Amino acid sequence: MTITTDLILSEALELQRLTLDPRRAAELAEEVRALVDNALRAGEGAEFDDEPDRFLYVLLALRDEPLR
Amino acid sequence: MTLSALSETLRRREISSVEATAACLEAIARHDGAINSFVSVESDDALACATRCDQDIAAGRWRGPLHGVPLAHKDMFYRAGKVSSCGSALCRDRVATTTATVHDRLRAAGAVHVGNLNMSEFAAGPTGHNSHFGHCRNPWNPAHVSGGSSSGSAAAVAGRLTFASLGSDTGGSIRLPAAMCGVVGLKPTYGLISRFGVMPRSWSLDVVGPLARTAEDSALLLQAVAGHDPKDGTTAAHPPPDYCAALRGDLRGLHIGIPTNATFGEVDPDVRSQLEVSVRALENLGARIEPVRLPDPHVIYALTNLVNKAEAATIHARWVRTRRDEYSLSTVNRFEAGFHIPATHYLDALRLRARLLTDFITRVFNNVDAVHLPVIGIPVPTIEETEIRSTAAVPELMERITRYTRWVNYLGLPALSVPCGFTPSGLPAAFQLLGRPFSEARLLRIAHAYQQVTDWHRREPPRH
Repeated sequence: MTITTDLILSEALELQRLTLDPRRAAELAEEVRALVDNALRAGEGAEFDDEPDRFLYVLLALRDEPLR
Repeated sequence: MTLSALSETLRRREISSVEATAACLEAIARHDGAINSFVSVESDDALACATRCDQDIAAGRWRGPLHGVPLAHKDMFYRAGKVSSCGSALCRDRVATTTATVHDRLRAAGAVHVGNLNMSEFAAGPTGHNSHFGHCRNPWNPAHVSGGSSSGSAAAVAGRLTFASLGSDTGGSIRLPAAMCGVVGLKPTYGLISRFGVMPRSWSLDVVGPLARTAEDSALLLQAVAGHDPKDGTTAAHPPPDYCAALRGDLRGLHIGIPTNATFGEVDPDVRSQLEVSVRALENLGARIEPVRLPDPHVIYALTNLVNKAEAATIHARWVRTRRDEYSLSTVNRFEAGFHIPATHYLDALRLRARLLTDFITRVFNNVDAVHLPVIGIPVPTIEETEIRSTAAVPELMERITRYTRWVNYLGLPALSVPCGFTPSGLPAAFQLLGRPFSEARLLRIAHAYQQVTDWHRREPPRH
């Protein structure tokens, strides 16, 4: 199973109501394939309790100490 | 004259705000034609505001360092009743119904708004090309890019047409133009400065920040706009420090890391030589220079792309469906893949941020206080060679230019671009200082100390 031009064309039309020309769809297929591969690989590092909003808490919790 | 110097002369009433503003307006009229940094100038309003500033200062109602100082900002900070073009044809006549908090704070500080600065369309471009308003050009050589997307901000500050400017940074859009134009540019910590009333590019990555000639000027502008805003729920609650007071401290005992990852060695020799000289200067100021291996930035860069594209596609979806032909070629192409990213992958990218940020800080900032790295690894390119002529060329060009900046936005960390010399082509070079969350004071102190022993920030571009 791979991300094909036809998949991009039908997704654009059916899921986003967008019309693409086949040449552009082929370019997007390659780009989306890379994005999805990276996402799947990185996603293996996610844990059950990870959640998006924790990021703001971590930014504050790990902030720099005041300068003297 | 720097912003801080102007501020002092205004306070002492050795110069009036009207005189300073009129001088800016004259400089813009005379010299902006060559660099195209302004999209609109508000002469009458600016002089009227300057007149009120002078009256207040004369009456003893001095508001602080920005009182009476003429400034101009990237054309994406809304003001109710005014147009913010966002560098686009779509928003050319779009009147805002709200006012950005940063504008409210600058007005309260007494700053004078001179005009609105050119930018890449919808902040989507690291070079400063703009097919609707004309490309912004580098003041050092107008055949070269200014960098983007805060193109006008960097060019106008470098070209001495404004004393400082607010820009925005989603993947390098303050740091890149600052580096290419030879000015200081701060990408602050995510959540330090309110994004209320600011055109969105990517909600999870966007920040607002200052561009100025010096670290001291940057600190003055930062002080006026930083801090919690109830209208922006992502802003941090704790009050910001006194950035100006923090400037004055030496670098003894400071540990500055130089990354050993191979990707940071892939820098053009002409840029690398300037970076190495800047490292020696920091060492001579008392900093300890240490090698440090960063977590793989390619992984973080890929996740940044995913978040950026998914959010930008969502923001622009309605217009892409109905008015696509009003966008320039490269703008939609940059985020179009976002329409095909499953929600689960987007959410994974978001929920991994805390884990990856914790890992980064543990492995890097438990050992060093700041990291010194490139902003852009190539000499400033020409407008011609970075012109987007095909959709296929977009991803490769973007990666090459944003390689050292984009992944920083995913981590939300502050990063400061500091001018450090010139390449043989006569265009600026710069280094980037990366720090812990909310370490802007530390980064500005390092840059300020560096600028006491160098004079890159005093060099002025030739008039064209």
